[in-house]
Amino acid sequence: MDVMRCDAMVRRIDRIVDGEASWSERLGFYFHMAICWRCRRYLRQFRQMRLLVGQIQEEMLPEDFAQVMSRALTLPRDRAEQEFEVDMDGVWIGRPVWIKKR
Amino acid sequence: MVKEEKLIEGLRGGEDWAYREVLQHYGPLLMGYAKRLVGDRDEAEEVVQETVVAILQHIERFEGRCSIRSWLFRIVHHKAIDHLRRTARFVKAPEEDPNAEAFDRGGHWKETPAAWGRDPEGQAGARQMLHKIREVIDQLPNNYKEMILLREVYQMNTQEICNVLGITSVHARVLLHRARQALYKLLEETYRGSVGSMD
Repeated sequence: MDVMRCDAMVRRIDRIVDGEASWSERLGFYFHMAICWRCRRYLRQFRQMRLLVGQIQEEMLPEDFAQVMSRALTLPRDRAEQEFEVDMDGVWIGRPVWIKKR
Repeated sequence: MVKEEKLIEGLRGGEDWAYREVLQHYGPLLMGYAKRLVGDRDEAEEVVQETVVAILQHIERFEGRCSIRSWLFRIVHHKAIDHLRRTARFVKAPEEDPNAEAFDRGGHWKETPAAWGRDPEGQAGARQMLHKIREVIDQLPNNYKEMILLREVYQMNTQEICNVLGITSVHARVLLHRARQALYKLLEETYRGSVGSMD
């Protein structure tokens, strides 16, 4: 079995962490891990990075988003223009939308 | 959550409940993705609004060859990128491996990977690192950022990512590898020299 180099370890890291590596690739990878503390550190921190990125929370829509969109989408154009300019000060809605339901 | 076929039928029929369902179920995801791509909440709201309009305009074109989630992300993605291009803020990563200079001719690390702190798994360490990661993701070029978000935050598989971005699986794998390496490298730069070794 060839001894994997550090650069090859980094090239294969995605296949390892995504569970796409073959049995022999995994064997070579973990054999290299056993003898290289730098790559062990890299792998540990790489996994930690992925774990933390996965914890980034979603942004919430404003509470009235659905209601305002609903009105904007169902009102006739002239009324929507009037209402949203007056009620929303033309700010929240960004650009008025006048799509009428079919 | 109603079944996807029923939801699509509702959207095609212009039913209020259907797009409310879309906003309720997918809205926060789309908003989060748009916010991370355009970097501003107000602009992200605008992108999501444009997305909702596009859904109603183009629902007839949805052929069901991918999930509705992929289709919605694809629309919000295009709207966000259009927005960034209009405001001249779209940044594409150079066509090279972020680790091209990291190894010597023998394939060994030129520099030992920097340690990220003594207690990175503790609550305080993790919180601090999460904060850094958010900042660093915002610094990534757009094509790397979208890969990190779709794979790591929204947990999409390669096929879903290809559906959203309209790229091949080979291209997606290359981009994902480079995006992760670029993210790691940027994080490392924030740590290198600022924290003592763990080993």
